[in-house]
Amino acid sequence: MLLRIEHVSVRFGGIVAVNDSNFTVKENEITCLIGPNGAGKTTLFNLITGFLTPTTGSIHFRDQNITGMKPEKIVRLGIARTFQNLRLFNDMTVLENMLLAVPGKYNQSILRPLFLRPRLKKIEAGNIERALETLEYVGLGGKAGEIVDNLSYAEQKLLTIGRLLMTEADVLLLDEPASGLDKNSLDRIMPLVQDLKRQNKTILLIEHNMDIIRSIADQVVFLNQGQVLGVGTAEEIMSNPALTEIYFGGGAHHGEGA
Amino acid sequence: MNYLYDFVTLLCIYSVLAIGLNLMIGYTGIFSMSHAALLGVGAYTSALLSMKAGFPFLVSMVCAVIVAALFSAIISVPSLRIAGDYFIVASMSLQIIIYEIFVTWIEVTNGPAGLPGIPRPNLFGFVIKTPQAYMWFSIVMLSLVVAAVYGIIHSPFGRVLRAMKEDPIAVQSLGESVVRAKVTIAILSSAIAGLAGSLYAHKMTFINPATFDIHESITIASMVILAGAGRVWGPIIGVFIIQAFPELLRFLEISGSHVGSIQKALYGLILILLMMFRPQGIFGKFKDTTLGVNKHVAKN
Repeated sequence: MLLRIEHVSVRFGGIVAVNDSNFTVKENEITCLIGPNGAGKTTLFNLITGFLTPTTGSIHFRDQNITGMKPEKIVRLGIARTFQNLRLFNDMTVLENMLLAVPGKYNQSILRPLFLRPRLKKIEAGNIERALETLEYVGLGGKAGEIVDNLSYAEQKLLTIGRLLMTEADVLLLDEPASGLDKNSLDRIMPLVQDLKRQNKTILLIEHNMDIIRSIADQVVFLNQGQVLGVGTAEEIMSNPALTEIYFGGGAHHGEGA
Repeated sequence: MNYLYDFVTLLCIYSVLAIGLNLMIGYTGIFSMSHAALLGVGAYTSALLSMKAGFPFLVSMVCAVIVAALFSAIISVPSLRIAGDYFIVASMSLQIIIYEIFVTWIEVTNGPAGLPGIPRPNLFGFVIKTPQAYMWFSIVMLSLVVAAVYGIIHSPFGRVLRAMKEDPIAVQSLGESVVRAKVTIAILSSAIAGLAGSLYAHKMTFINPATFDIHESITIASMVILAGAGRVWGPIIGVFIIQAFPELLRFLEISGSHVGSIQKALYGLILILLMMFRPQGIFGKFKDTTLGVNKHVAKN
């Protein structure tokens, strides 16, 4: 098991956003988190990536307990995420956004720009090359010099994936990569998500579109009101009448920001 | 003529200080209220080591840089971990504590009476004595600091600083430590203040605590904000305006005893007007091409 979520709960005052959740994510698989609004999907993302600390329970990555670790440390261990609201640096170029995700000392050193400039230039050139290749891979070839604000929404979504790849993380958490996209854009982004599996990445994603889930998910985790109600293949989950009733029947409490 | 040399020398020294502070206020968005005290730490360290321990000027200067950086590390490591706003309070406390040390540790600092007789810098046998020589020396030091800061701002680290101002959470999500970057900047900025302090002490040959009190910290911050925080050369203009201001007041017929208070009231007024009408400062927003990355792409 690459990632283990064990008895994880988080409370905000009196509200239990995630309640005693258990599931595992297998290496090189696509796991989909589904559930009605307010089910706790994004909260789980925040817990796994260190932006929130569980009230109880623990999260393990490759036999290491990562509960309560800082987000940047978790990224360096190999778990990186996107956000529903993208969080790109809109005033910067596409390439600059990509370079900000380069791991190691590259982005934090002040000694290199002061004393080792030629070496820094060389490292920079290598990173630019990798960034341009990655942009090509996600379908943004030729856009490197563009200011992010000038990209279409679909292109911005592709950039979030490109930027994620620059972190070199093995586990990628994608928060609704398909939302807000038209058919054409979906045809660009979903094959990319599937291809990431072939690049030896492990994917955990939040998704609402059942057709997409059916076509790409190896495992589905069904959440409702902060609880994991079912784990299985897409078919197993969808053939469970209780779960489909919650999902389609409007039986869940609706709230803002899952 | 010496008057002009002295004016330019002080302009350079305060520009060094302001450029360092601009790394915090302008590029990182951390407001520090302790830069006058850190200037003082540099000044006292350099002066005392030269006078009492007989250290050569360059060694004293390097020690001044290190000691000022250490003082800042004491508060920046814990306070920047919490949230940026706490740093203002922490740095103000640091300012007050350091000032009290200058005033009360009489055996070492000579208290409010100050330290006279600080030697002129001796660089490999050449004593920088005349106002003209010191002016050139300060210009060289300022140029070195500008080059260093420019190099850092136009590096990948500079890009992280810009990104942090836009969205620190996104920066963290990419694996960069925002706290670490802020602490680095706070320490670097204080080290530069220490350097300015050393230059100041050996220029004036006399220092006392009054030069390093909280009003000075506010004036220095005004210099940075005035010209536009977030430009490498912006603070130099700010320092020039604030340094030249008292000289201009001479042309108005105001009695000597009122000049000081009128000056402070006018600084305050200018800052309030700036914040209302031009919060980005006189020279506006900073924009750059980090290491020429964007140009590189344009070529491809």
